[in-house]
Amino acid sequence: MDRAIKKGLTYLILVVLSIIWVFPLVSMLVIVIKSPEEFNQLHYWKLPLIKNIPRNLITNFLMAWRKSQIGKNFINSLVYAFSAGIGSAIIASLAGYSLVHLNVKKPHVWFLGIFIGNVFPFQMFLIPLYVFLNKLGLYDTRTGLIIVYVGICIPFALFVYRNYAYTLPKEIFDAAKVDGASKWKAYLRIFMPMSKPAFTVVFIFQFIWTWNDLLFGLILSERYRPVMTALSKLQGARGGVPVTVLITGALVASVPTIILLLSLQKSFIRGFTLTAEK
Amino acid sequence: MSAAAFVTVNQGIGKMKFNVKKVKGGVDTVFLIPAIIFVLIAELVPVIYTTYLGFMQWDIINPPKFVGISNYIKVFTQPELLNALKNTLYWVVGTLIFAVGFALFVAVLLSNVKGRVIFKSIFFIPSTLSPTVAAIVWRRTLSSQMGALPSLLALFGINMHPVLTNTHINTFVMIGVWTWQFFGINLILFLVGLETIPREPVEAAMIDGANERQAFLYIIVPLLRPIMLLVIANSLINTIRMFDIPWVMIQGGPGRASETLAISLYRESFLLFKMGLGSAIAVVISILTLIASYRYIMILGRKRG
Repeated sequence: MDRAIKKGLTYLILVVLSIIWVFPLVSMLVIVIKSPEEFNQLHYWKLPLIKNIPRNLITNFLMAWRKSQIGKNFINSLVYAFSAGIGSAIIASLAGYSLVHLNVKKPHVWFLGIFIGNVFPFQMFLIPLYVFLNKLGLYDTRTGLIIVYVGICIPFALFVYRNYAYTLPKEIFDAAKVDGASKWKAYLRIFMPMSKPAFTVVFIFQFIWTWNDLLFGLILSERYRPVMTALSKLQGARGGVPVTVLITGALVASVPTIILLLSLQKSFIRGFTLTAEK
Repeated sequence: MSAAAFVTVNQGIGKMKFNVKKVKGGVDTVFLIPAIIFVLIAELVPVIYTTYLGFMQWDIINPPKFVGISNYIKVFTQPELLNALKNTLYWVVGTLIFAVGFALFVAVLLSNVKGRVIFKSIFFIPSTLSPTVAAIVWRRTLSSQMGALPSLLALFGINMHPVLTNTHINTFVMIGVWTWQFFGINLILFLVGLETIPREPVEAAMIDGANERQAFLYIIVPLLRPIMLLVIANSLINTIRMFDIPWVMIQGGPGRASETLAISLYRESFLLFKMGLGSAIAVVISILTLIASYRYIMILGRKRG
């Protein structure tokens, strides 16, 4: 095939794909700049008056945040995602440190025992967790969901921390020992500060996973729903919420992950490839 | 000192030594305890409990009753569940073709063009959204009541038939939504892999008369293996348990037509309160996942240091 034709064809494919990729996003923007009344009265692709746009945006936002209670669920999800991100990182860092740099017997067995949690799909945990939390009086509480989210996040977090711990030279910890530093001190003063890259990867992955979770929220909560579960319920509610409000809520709920991924995209991809390295 | 006393003291010392050693190991194991407790509660005990419930009939209120493998027989004979199994298979194969295979194709295209960064960014945007939001966005876009696409086509006089309620195509439409969302990540991973491939073997092969397709199949693909394995395993793991997109878009409907195994599990256990049947479905999902990701797990869990 001629080189020029080939090049042209390549760009054609890429441009067509780009249009498909951007189309739904643009069409959502067209929704959120309208008021609920304008959305019902105007043709879909007819834009509202420019001077109305700021007012519509604010009205939609307030209706989603307050009236549809997305605000409350947003805060819930912030609590869950930060707890899972930071909690699993701290717990996994302790475990990773001890498995690699302390004298735990049979470290590989311990690692597999914890990592095996990552092998099963979440569906395997749903029914028991529902039963346990009900029995413990933790159904529909933030504590209950935090325990679940942290627990689910630990195996992968440990995987990252353990791999990272191997890259830290043993000599540093031996030297600290000679200088009389206790194991805890070595953990706090040496391991923690040096394992920041592992923390970044764990935090991004687990924050995003928890933020995006729909299923656990659906089964384990009612009043303390995370934001994605709340959104799915809002959409399901028949004739309840105006489309402009629902879509505004969905966009607001996407802000944290958009910020996180756009600012830390490199670490995110790094986290993925970590599992493909020798 | 009598002989007996000596023996006792000696035993005592032996015991003490043993204890000291145990305490030493114990101190190090302390670091593991929080992780173990959480994993036990959230994962390991649930796995055993779900396996147990798979052999029971249980409505949560009355005590569970042992029913042998009848739940498993239901999974493979009840029409709705067989249908869910079939849909799950469509999901697995469909995402392998589109979200993985097509992503590799586009990655190869992208590695030869200018303006790569712009295209990469465009394809990556949906990855920053959650599956729930992606489903809400596409449901609005495709909706026959004031949806973006039907409204646009109507301007050109084209009448678009509803796609989500059409049981022949809705699963494939939703696979498209998933592709829209995860294409970007897979694409970037493939590009990372392609960038690390040295140019020399490819060029040498071309000089030796290999055409582009041969160079791709016999040189690039084998060199991409680690990344391929990662992307494929991820795709399999995520689609065998597919829940979010078909649930948010159409609740596995119309009726139960587009249900996946994960949705069947949710419906049977938490809407129809058949906990035993739900557990059996969970076990089936797990076994399928284990088979699909066996190699990948072996690599992740291998010994180090």
